[in-house]
Amino acid sequence: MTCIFLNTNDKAGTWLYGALKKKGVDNLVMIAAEELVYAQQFSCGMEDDGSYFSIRLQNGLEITNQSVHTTVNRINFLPEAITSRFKPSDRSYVTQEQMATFTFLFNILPGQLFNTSSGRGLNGQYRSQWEWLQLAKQAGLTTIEMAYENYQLYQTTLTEVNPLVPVLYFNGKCFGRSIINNDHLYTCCQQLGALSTDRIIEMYFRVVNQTLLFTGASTVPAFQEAGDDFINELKELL
Amino acid sequence: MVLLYGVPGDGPFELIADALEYAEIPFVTLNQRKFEVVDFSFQHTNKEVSGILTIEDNSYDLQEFTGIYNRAVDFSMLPEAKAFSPDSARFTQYALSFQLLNQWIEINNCRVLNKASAMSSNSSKPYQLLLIAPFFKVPPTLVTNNITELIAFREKYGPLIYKSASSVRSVVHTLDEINHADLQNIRYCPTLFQKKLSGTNYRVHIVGDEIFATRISSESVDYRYSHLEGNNTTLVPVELTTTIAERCLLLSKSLQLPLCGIDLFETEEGTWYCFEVNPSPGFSYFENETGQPIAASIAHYLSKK
Repeated sequence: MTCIFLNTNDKAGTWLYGALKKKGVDNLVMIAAEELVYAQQFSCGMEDDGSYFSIRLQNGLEITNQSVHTTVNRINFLPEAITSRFKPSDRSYVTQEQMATFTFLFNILPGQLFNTSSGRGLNGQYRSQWEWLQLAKQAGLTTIEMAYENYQLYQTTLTEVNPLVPVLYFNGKCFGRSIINNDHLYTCCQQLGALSTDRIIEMYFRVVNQTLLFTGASTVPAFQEAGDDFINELKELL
Repeated sequence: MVLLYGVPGDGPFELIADALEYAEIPFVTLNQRKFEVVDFSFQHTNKEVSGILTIEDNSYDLQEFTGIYNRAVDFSMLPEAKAFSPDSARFTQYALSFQLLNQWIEINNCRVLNKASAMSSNSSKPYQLLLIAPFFKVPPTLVTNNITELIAFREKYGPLIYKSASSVRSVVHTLDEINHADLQNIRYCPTLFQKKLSGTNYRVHIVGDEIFATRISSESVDYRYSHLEGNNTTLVPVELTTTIAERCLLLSKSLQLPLCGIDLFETEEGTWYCFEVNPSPGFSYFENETGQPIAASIAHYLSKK
């Protein structure tokens, strides 16, 4: 079984599911964060012979480290509703315990195509915009400029005349219209992807005076420019 | 110049300030509770990252700092911050300022004990165990909301302990009896259980490449709270074997935590386990009891480029 874990209303995740189905991928299921959090039975752990999980969802579906062979994780937050079952003074504790549990779970999923959890996020590593700009600079990209002064944030002025240009990085390769015939940009984006250490990221550029300026990146791509090449790459790994 | 960032009065913070003063290493204290006299500006351009930290009437170029001791707390938890409504402009201003200061520390090239990104591995104990496992054995661990699974785990491993899975400080308890009524809450909050081991606790503090190991003798399951049970805890400085010491250093480097408190455990059979790596250790308790010069080592570490 291949599982796509996603948050409710994740349109890009649903698109991904549909695109893989169209390519003939069978035994593919979408599982929402709520289904995991409200699972009838939930166990995960580690023993001398490795880590494991066993989850029975409310709809009766059982997923275990043996029944699941490939996973895509797009969950980057957990639903808060479950904490309402606890008294107010315990809610913050419950939230942190849930995060700790799912950080572990999303690290031990079998055949994870993207993205493994970390202490910095359920889905890859959460980074501030400053950190992305710094990494992008290291990767050889030209970035927007930012400043913080007198309790105000400033950055290179961007308007609707500066169109958004996304580049998707996955599995060491880059996808998107802007990188076609632009070897330098491709190499820099590839380098940024490698520096991020996440398997998938979506990078965002804006066109300013005919130059692409890097503005930031996300570990939960919107797949705006992910075409057939990306889906084929993904399908090959299933 | 060393930056001490946090809340003075805290044991480790004070010991490091004393050690810096004693070693005549210049340092500046950023007292989070006096956030109203702190100003911070910061720029990222395609040429450089630069900025100025101002505390009262003194300004410091961010490049001046050789090292940062980061024991900052969440701004909203400060008593002084609670005087502002979280929706007020001033609360937002100060919170943003600290947020950006933390982000600057993250991308800074000077020595930092420790960066928040590295400390975050401790936000999930079972996740951190995955990172520890290449270096030390870790106790069999189950996180479950299912009493049947818990019973099976207990039958397999014998006596268990339970504690928080997150970094929220909790007292480690032994699970003596499986009382179904008491365990009802795990239905909605999966809880962490581990095999209870018999043997001796060790706390190993790492500072860069220096190791300070302490053997802990206590009759309590959680020695940190032995006084509440009327028990005594004895701390004795010890030398680790070369193999164990090397593994501790490798673990600290792998977690990118040049300062950490590693909780080791030697079983009666002589097997070494690791329970947890604390990224912001309260080492003052150990230094005060054993005389190990941990703060001096930290001061020295932070003074070097």
